[in-house]
Amino acid sequence: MDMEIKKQRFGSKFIKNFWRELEKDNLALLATILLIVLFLFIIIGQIFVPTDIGTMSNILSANLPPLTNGHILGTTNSGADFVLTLIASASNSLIIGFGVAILITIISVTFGMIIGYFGGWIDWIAMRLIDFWLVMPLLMILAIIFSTAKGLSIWSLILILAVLSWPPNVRLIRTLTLSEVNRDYVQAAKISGTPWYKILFTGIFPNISSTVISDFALTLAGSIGIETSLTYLGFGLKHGTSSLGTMLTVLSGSSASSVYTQWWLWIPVTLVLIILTFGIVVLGQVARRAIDQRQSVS
Amino acid sequence: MWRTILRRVLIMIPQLILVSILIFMLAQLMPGDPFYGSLNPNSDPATIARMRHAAGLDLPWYQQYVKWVGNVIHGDLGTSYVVNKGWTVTRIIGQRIWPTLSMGIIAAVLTYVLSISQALLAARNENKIIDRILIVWNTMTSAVPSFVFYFVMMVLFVYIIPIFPSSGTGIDDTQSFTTNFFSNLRYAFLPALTIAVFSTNSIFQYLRSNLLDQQAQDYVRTARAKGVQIKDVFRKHILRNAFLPIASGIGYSITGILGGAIFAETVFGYPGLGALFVQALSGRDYTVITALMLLQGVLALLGGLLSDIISAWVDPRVRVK
Repeated sequence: MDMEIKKQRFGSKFIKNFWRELEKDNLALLATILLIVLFLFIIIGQIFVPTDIGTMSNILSANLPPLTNGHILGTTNSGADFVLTLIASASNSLIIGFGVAILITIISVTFGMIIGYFGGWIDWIAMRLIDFWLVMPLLMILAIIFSTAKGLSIWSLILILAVLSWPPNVRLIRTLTLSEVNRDYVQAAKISGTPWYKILFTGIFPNISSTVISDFALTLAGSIGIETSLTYLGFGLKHGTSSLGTMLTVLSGSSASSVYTQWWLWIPVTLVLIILTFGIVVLGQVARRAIDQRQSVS
Repeated sequence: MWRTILRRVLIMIPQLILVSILIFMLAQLMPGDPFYGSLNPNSDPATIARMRHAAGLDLPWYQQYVKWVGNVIHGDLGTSYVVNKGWTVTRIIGQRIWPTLSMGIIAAVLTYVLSISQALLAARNENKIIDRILIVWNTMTSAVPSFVFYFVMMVLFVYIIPIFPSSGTGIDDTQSFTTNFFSNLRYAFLPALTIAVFSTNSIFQYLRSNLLDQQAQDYVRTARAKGVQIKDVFRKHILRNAFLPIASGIGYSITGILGGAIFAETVFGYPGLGALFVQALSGRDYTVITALMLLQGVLALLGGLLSDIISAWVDPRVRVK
């Protein structure tokens, strides 16, 4: 009974703090509004997106310029409506981003807290491996793996991205845990016989949660960035699954001049990408300040 | 100092072995083998088996690995089968490396110039409007995948204000070195500038918070109390201390040259190593890909080495350890 009241109060306090931070920060307010509008667009748009939008090919109405035949932004090179393709792509990119960020956050919080808490040889080996992995060219390795796979489904893409790009997050959580481990409250809990997993998840975790939130936002934006970058180059998703990156692929190679002549091919996609990634990072910072009021700017 | 460097170079040996194993594993992962491009459906299976045997592809993986390492040490990286059919990989890389290097060096210099000046401007005007704008700008360029900004720069400076060429490197093998050097500058500048404009974030944030930390130190207050002007304190003390950690990052800009070039070269149609990587991957030219990965791995290790040497050189405290 007591616990429930406490939790409720924490939740309402978070929302109140979040609002207060938004009122102070015009940019964050703008980012939130744009993100909400975009999310509504994507969610409501799903109703109108035909299921075969990726595989349909309608050569007669392909590559139409904007405002022809009732297509507001024209059609893609396979003849699908550009706006609907954009909605489908944005939702695919978001699913990939969220999937990767959730997986990486779970891995990094558990693994990072455990190696930071116990230290010793596990920590030593893990850190050497992480340091080594951090100097490796992740994008090139991912590009090679994606190209050997010849087109992946969204879910296998999420899995590969998450499995190969957790090291920096684990290192961050480990560093945060190390600074908490020697605090008095952890020592007291240890002495009074609290099991280690309880110390980790009810003692240390709440104290590092503000960074976990902003790190989640950064990872989310970063994963969308990696995914769009690689699919722009033409590696990753299988034919028929579009993402914000595959929509820009038409601009690479010999048709580079269409960047200028056919602005509608990239400006809307770019705007959606900017609102998504930048908005998510800004919101993550606001959420961080809302949780940890010491970081709030006056 | 020399002992620090020696110890650091020795650490590189296991790292190099680890990198080579990783790259070898990636190469094994790729489907097909080096004869992939030279075969056709009518090839006799016995001939294929003989070719595979001659190339040692039927050996166990550890013997293949040793053989591969031996070849690499002798400078034999294999032959390209798709991008430039029949050329040795060393020849292709030798031709493509100069445009990427020139672009990478200009980009690295410009990145430092831009991010240091932005950080100074922001730190001198803490919490003022210019500081806020610079922080937002840098947050944005780091959050958004930078290749989308490359389109903007391309449209602005190639089509709307046509001062830069749209594709090519300006290098012609028949011309002399100096002619090539200057004609290449015109082609390399726009991609280099574009890379620099949108990658200031990490140095900017690091240097800005360093500068703010240093400004709050006691020695600054002492100097001010003695009557030293703030701009002199800034130039003689704060800058020197705040730059120490930045200097060590110079090594890592070597590491980023190839990776950063992939998107800039693709968008701007600038045929260097980055574009070669994409071309080789799309065409499944595995000898070229393996060689490029190896080059990148070696660059990464050298970058780390250089960074550590620089930080030991500028900061004696690092050497003691």
